[in-house]
Amino acid sequence: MTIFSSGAGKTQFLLTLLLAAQLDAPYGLSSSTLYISTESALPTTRVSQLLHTHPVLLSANPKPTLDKIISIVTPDLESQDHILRYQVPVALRRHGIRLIILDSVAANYRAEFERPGAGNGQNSGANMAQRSSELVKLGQLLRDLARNENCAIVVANQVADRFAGGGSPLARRSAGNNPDSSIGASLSSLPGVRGEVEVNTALPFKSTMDPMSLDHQQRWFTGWGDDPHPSHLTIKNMKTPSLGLIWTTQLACRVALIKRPVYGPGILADEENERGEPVLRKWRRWMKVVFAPHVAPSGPGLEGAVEFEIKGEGMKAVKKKAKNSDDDDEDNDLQT
Amino acid sequence: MTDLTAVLPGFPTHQYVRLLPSLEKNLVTTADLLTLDCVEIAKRAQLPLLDVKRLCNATLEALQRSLGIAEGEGVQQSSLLRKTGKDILGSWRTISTLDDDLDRALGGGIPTGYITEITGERYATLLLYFVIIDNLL
Repeated sequence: MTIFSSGAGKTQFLLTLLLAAQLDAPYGLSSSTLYISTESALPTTRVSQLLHTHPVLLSANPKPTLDKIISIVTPDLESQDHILRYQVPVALRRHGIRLIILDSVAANYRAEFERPGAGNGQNSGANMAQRSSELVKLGQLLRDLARNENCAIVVANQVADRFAGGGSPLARRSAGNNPDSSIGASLSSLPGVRGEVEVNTALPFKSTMDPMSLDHQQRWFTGWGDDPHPSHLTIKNMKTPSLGLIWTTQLACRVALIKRPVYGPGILADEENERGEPVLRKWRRWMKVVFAPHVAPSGPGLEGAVEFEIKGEGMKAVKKKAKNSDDDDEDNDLQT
Repeated sequence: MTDLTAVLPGFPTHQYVRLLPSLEKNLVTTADLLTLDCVEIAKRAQLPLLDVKRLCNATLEALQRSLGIAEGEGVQQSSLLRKTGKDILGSWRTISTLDDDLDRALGGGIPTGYITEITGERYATLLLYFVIIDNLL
């Protein structure tokens, strides 16, 4: 059995940054780095594996070390807030840190605001309003840190499945409050945009045709759903980053890591399932710039996105020509 | 009112100590101070009109100063929010992903001075596959 490497490659991306920031220009900032984790501690074995295998890290002088990665685990929202507000600014100056990684930003908010029992009726609305204001405060705090200390702040965020129909409460509200949907109607009557509207009906969020609605517009800032010719599989695997629009407005730059399964020719049959299932051969991964202040977004779909693979020595972009090369063992050398 | 110190960290709140508790009790935010009529705020928080007016003006002025758009002496003051193109270029640094193609797509890498989000699926879904496989064995 093939050992699948982790999700879309977020952790690999972050770990690479932790080491790269320690290098001298042009690679890094020759500084210490800070890793704030909400779930599991820093995977040090993987970091040292990178350190001992990545060609750039190997040839660097002075070499990056694990000593210059300061890490802390924040198990709940209260400690996370305290650490970010009072301890991180002090640590920044004391250790000369220029890169802060918060992995992941959503976990603690999820635990605090989406617990069962708290989410019924009026309470859930009040909860979400409170969460929004907390997120704005967190955004402001991180922005001030980034600006005042001129350090890079990287937050990891999870994605959730996007549901067809119904949509978010926000979308329902905006749909309900909009008795005059003439915008959508007049748009679709224009010959130029009719094609686009027809494409929309094939997408899972067809319930709201209103171009002013969140369900329609989120494809341009979430990183998922802007594919002009989505396949059946893409529609099934539509994702939305956690924490919603409010959090998105706090960010300067969003990078989406997208993975798609590649099925092999064979069929994985077993006794219980007569028809069998297609064999999952490997995952393909892409990095996509959704929005950024300093660089153009990758554009719709995966056309402009950079395909990469995760190897023992780190992330590596896939050259476009070598796309059809057979690489059965590419995922085997990663043991994390 | 709780957000005044957050919005304007350097604001001299000690001058307005008498007003703050009442404003806080009546949920007057900094945005309210800037947008509502002073009479309205004074009525809501039951405070002397002149004091409220003074606070509103001071808030506006402090905010303009921190944005670097105040008139007179404020113009010479450098603001963190207001940078020239030269400043930005001078302090522009990025962290490489250690791969040329990925760096090119990111315009050099992850920039300093900004919040960057990396979003993507976790391996939890894969973990689920393992659970399923384990159950099949």
